[in-house]
This record gives sequence, structure tokens and C-alpha cells, in this order.
Amino acid sequence: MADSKVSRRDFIKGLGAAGAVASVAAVFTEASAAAKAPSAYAGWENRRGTEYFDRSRFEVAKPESYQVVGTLKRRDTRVYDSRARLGGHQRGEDAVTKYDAGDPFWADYYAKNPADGDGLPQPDTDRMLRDEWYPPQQAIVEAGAERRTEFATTGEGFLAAAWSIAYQDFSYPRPSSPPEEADWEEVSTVRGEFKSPELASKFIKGIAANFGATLCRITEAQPAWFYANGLRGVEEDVAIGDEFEIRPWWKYAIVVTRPMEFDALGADPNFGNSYSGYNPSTYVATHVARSIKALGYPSRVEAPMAGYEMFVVPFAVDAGFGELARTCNCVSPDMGGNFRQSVVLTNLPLAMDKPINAGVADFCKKCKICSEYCWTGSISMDDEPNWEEAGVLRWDVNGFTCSMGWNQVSGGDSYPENAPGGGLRGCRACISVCPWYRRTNWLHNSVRSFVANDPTGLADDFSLQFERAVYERRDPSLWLAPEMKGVHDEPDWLRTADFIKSFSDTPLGEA
Amino acid sequence: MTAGLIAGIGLTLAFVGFYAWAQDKGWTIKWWQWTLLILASGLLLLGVGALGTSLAEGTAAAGWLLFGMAALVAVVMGFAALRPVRAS
Repeated sequence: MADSKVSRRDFIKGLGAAGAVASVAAVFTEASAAAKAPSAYAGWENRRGTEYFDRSRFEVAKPESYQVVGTLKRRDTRVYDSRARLGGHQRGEDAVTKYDAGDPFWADYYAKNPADGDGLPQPDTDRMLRDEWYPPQQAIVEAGAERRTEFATTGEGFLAAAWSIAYQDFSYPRPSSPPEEADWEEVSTVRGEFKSPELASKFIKGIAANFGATLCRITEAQPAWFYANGLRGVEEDVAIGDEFEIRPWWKYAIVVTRPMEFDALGADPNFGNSYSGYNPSTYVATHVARSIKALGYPSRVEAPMAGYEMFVVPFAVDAGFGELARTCNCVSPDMGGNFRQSVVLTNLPLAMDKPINAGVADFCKKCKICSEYCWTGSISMDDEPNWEEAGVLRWDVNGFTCSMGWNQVSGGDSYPENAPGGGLRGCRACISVCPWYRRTNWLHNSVRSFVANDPTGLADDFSLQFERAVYERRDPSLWLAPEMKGVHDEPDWLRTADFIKSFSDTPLGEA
Repeated sequence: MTAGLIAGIGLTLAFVGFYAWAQDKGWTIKWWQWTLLILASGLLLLGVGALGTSLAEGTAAAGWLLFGMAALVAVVMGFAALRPVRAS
């Protein structure tokens, strides 16, 4: 046997070099896979007892992302913000138009509320919004109407619209009778008494996970978060200033959630939809509620596609999903604002979860990226929460200008009948530009942990500088017609031009 | 799991190979120099991981910046570790 030309020593050195290359390749490959794994899509790693973000370390006795500064007051959805009051203004059905015509309901409202939350005089502020602010904004809507219709019916939004409407056009049961009947309908005559509230909670969370909830937490059914009006299943609404009765069996609030489709949300305001969160979270809540009735307890669903008698965001905050953010939605450390929550009310004795302080609201004080990107200027730019409403101090979000923004992108228009454009609903851009909207992989989880665990605030500053320096977001001017781009590019599976060869008239009813 | 195993074995081989190479050069590497080298290689691999994840996510700019920063610090650490032996 001939002597080898490679000495043992050189072989070891060569093996070492190969090992170094193998290490780099293995890490690179694994890291790439981590970005694309199904569990990397925010929220989807959250299953029974396996949440990667351990909330227990950040639990606090009471929510710290909003402050109760006065007497908590239930809000009337007909009057509580300008969006509610000015709805129907195109048809002359808004509050101030009716008030000027002598409507006693609105005369009573404006008499009792001479100033809005900013201290501006009412009804003059509502008149100003209607007569001065609205017309030029509506002109933007009208100027882009043709392009938006084309976008969704024969343009680049065709596939997104077809996908979206499938989530949207689905019915869930709504209460059609008063709570005394609806909440007790189908309740089992046999009641199962759990050995402990903890075990009952464990079972309910298991059911929620089984039906697809990515997160389920339980809190007290705080009466102040219920609307004052609009009880489902009753014929007549309450008078202004009155409140419907909180039923005694609405004791616990089981909050369930599912994220919206991650990649489509990133391509908002034109390619995503809220229904990819609304529909599944309603689905989960409906099934959890049915299961509770089978246990022998009443239940009531408060969900996007079944109707609400409450603001669900504070319930999510109280339950410890996340914190009340600058956008006034609940932003969680693991999902950002990318989720839509539903609530199940019951009196089944349950162990309650606690709210959390994981540094989200503190981060919001410095960040302001959502405010900068909202072209309607609806989100407060103030450093600290300074908007007091119904006894709660938080940041201000103008619902009226925000809803106008929805109409200026791919939502709110009247699309041709049976065309899929109605399935698109803008805009959620404040969620997709948020730094907390990131995949759940080792890279972003490290940053989340870094920010959540640093009491000095330096981690906020560092990560925010990095965020602004390297993470690109498309300029809002390109979101509106005629460009109609997203914050990020749409995902491959929603690229109409890659899938659709041509459009033609559907031969309805023919083979 | 598999990737971690490959990376671990690969890194062990790399250090064995490096040790052989350093001995041939007559270098004596002390414990603190080994520590620095291990930390530097770990940092470099972190940078590679950040690059891989970011490229796959479509956030290449962030990945290259993270990799660049990690590589720079790793190289500085490597030089700091080996400069004394090279000078001796």
C-alpha cells in the first residue's frame, strides 16, 4: 500500500476546515427554515401550555397600560365618538344634522355633552368634521373609486379578494331573544361541578385550543367595558343616558383569539382582511360557548361575526393577552396587534389570569411608527397617553378619520354585485408597520425578550434605532390609488398575475 | 436538532483542526485566548443565523447589517485573541 500524500496532521486540519464550513451551512440552513416554519407565523406556536412567550413572568396585579382616572362609564355606541355620531352623514342621518333638524335624542345628547374628549365644543366640532374635514377626504375616495374596483375585480387584488370573501361571507348564530332565553338555550339539565376553578379553566382552555384558538385567557367580566346600549335579542334600545342591565351570570370573560393571516397582513392596507381573524375567533368562541352549555352553565358569545355588547380590547388587556397600545388595540409581545379576539361570558367558576406588563406600552411611548405611517393622522403622536374617555386614560385614536382611511384604500366602496371586491377591507396598516409584528422565530424572540426584560429602557432605544435603520416599509403615498401597494409585498400565493391568465364574463348557469 | 448537532460536531472539528494548525506554527494558545476564540466563532455563527433567517423572511437589509456587525466584532475578537501569540 502506497504511503498517503496527506499526513494525518494535514487531514485533521482539512477536517477542521470542512467542519467549520459544515457548521456555518447548518446554522444558515436551520435559520432559514426557522423563518418559514408554520410556527413562525405569529401566534401559531401558541398551543395548550406551549406559549413560547412565558407571560407568567410578566403578570401584574392590575393593568398598567391604561389608567383609571375617574368613574368608569359604559359607553353608548351611538354617541361615544365622532365616527359613531357622524355615521350616515352622506344621507343626512348623522347626529348633528338630526340635531339641527330638532331631533330630541340628539338635543338631549349635546345638552349633556357640551364638549368632546378634547374639550372642543359640541356640536360645532361635529359640524366642522362634517362640513370642512370630510369633503376633501371624500374627494380622495371618489378619485380612486374606479381604480379600486379594477384592483379587486380584474386587477392585482383579484385573488386576495376571492380569498377574503370566503372568510367574510359566513354566518354564525346571534342571540335572537333576550339573554334570559338566549344564554340559557340548550343549557344541559345536568350540571358538572368541577373539582376546582383551576381545573375548569384548564378544561376550557383545552377546548379553545382544540377549536383552533392560539391563545385563551380568562378575566373578570368588568361591567364598565360593556356598551350602555345595543343589547342583542331585544326589540327596543335603551334611551340616551340609560344602560341595559348586566346579567348576573356574565361573571367571567373567556377571551379567545386567532391571528390574522400573517403575510397578507404585511401587504395591507390593500391585500389583507380582518376576517381571517374575525371568522376563526368567532368560530372558537361559538364552540366554547356551546361546550359550556353542555356542562350545565349559561354562556354568551361576544364576537366579531356574532355581534358584541362590549369593547373586547380591554378584556384582552385585563386577561393578559398584551397591553393597551398607542393604536388603542391590544398589542401582545408575541403576536403584536395581529389578532382578533372574541369573548365568552359565563358563570362557570373559573380561575382567572392576570394582566401583563412586558414593556409593550413603554415601547409605544418612544416608537410612534404607527402614527407616522397613518396618513389620516388618526393616531396620537403624544409621548404619553393623555386622552381621557369614560374614566380611562389612554392614547387618542380618531375613529372618524380612521374609518375614512379605510374607505380610501381597498375598503368601503360599493363593488359590483357578485364581484369579489367586497371581500377586501382596509386597512390595518398600523398593525403591519408595528415593530411587534414579526414572525415568532429565534431572532425576533430574542429581541422581544431583550425588550421585555430590560427595565432601563435602553433595549427599547437600541431596538427602535435598529428597526428604523433596517426594516423597510413602503411609503403611505403608494398605498392609495392608483398604486395600491402594501406596506410589504403581497405573498406569492396572492399574486394574481402569477396565477390568472385572463378574465372573461362568467357564463352563469351554463355548463 | 440535526442542524445543532452538525454545527456542534463541525465546530469541534474546526477547533481540533485549528489546534493542529496552531501547533505547527509553534503557537501556544492559553485558556483566555481559547475562550475568546470560542466566543468569536459563536458570535459569527449567530450572525450567519441572523442572515439566514432575515433572507428567508425577505428582510435582507436587516440580515446583512446583523451579520456585518457580528462578523466585525468576531474578527476583532479573533485578532485580539491571536495577536499575542503571533507576536511571541
